[in-house]
Amino acid sequence: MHLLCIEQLPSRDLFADDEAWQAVCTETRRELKEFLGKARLRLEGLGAPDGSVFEDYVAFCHSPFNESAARCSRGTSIALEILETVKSGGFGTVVVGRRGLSKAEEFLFGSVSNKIVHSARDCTVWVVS
Amino acid sequence: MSTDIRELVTASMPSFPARRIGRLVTDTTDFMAVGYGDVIKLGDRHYMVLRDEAERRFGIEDFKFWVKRCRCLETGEPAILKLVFHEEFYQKVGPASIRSFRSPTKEARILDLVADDPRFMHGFSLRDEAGNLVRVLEVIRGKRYDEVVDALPGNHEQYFHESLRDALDVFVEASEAIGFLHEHGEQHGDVRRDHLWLETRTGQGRWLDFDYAYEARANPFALDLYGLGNCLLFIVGKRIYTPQVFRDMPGGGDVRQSDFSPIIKNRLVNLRRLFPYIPEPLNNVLLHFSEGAEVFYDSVAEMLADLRPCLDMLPKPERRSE
Repeated sequence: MHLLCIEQLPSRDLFADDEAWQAVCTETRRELKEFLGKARLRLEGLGAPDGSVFEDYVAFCHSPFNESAARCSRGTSIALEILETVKSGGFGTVVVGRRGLSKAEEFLFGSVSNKIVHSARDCTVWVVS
Repeated sequence: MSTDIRELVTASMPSFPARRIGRLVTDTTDFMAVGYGDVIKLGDRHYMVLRDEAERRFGIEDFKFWVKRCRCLETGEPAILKLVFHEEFYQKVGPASIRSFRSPTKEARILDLVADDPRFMHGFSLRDEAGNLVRVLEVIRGKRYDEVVDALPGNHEQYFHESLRDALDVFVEASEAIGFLHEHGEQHGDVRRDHLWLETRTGQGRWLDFDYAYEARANPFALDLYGLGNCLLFIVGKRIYTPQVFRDMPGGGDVRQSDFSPIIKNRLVNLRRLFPYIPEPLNNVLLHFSEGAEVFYDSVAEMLADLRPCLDMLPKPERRSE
């Protein structure tokens, strides 16, 4: 079982200087990794065997941290990047949460779960409300 | 220094009143203090400030004090100087509030990207002596494209038969231009009807103003697509239809809630209710921007894949011989 986080950090364009941008990116990354770790512990606490839950963290390509990983997130479509991971990893099921967006929000910002439901091929999709 | 500026202004703009010649500005940080008659120095060029630019919204002039209409003293050419204004604000789009920013670096980067692309406003950026990234923009001679469409003669049916095909050609090219930005990882950020201009000399559609940046969500380009949908709706309809407008029109009584925009609830999107001669495939493109849509467009390419075949379904206007 793999817990996947596609990192999405704010663009440098949203800040007046590098320091402010780096501070927000550092904090966002810390929160995401902490969340991923807690999720793994929770699954293990619910009975998943030790060593069967993996954390996959895909860093944002345009972060201020000079990423060296082989793969990074372009940030153009989280849903498609999740599906790329499903395909390349040979996974049979993808489980995503539903944030409960309104129609207007989905229209203006996009919906990860909706995009996955419509774009997934050769795998099972669970959307958790 | 002041004497030099007076000489330069007098030589370059002899009709400019000498008593109104202001100061030489090399640091534009306090843009509110830069006004008529001041001369901004950028690199080896000098720009005489003529006025603050303004947008007309809801009949009121909304002055943009960080945008200066200027004339370059060395070349005599008009120019628009955008000074640095790090504004953070919330754009209200229908029920949503979107945290947005004015980013000089984003606009400067896009100006470089589109420097040879006629579908966009052109310009360049330079830092003043205080390090502020000032953008020097060309003045586009033309009109807002929606005003051009609005001014076309006749009712909707005449427009449909004589002009819609050509009007959509301009829109398709303009959409391709936005798609080009997305392919390069850039958002336009403020796709609105009044940011698409038709250049008089060339008949070319050109996008303006790239300095808006906003927080990305699941699809960072969805807001640009929403803007394109609004432009398309105006062009197909020749105007925007609200219940007050279509109340007494044939078909107006058949309109359902799902026919409206999910964002602006009184904006009719399903125009075939009023104009049954609009080809269904073209109307289906519009319906992707309606409350009733199950799936919205994810990319400009998706929208254009549906829209391009519609062009051949529209009446071809007869060309007058030269």
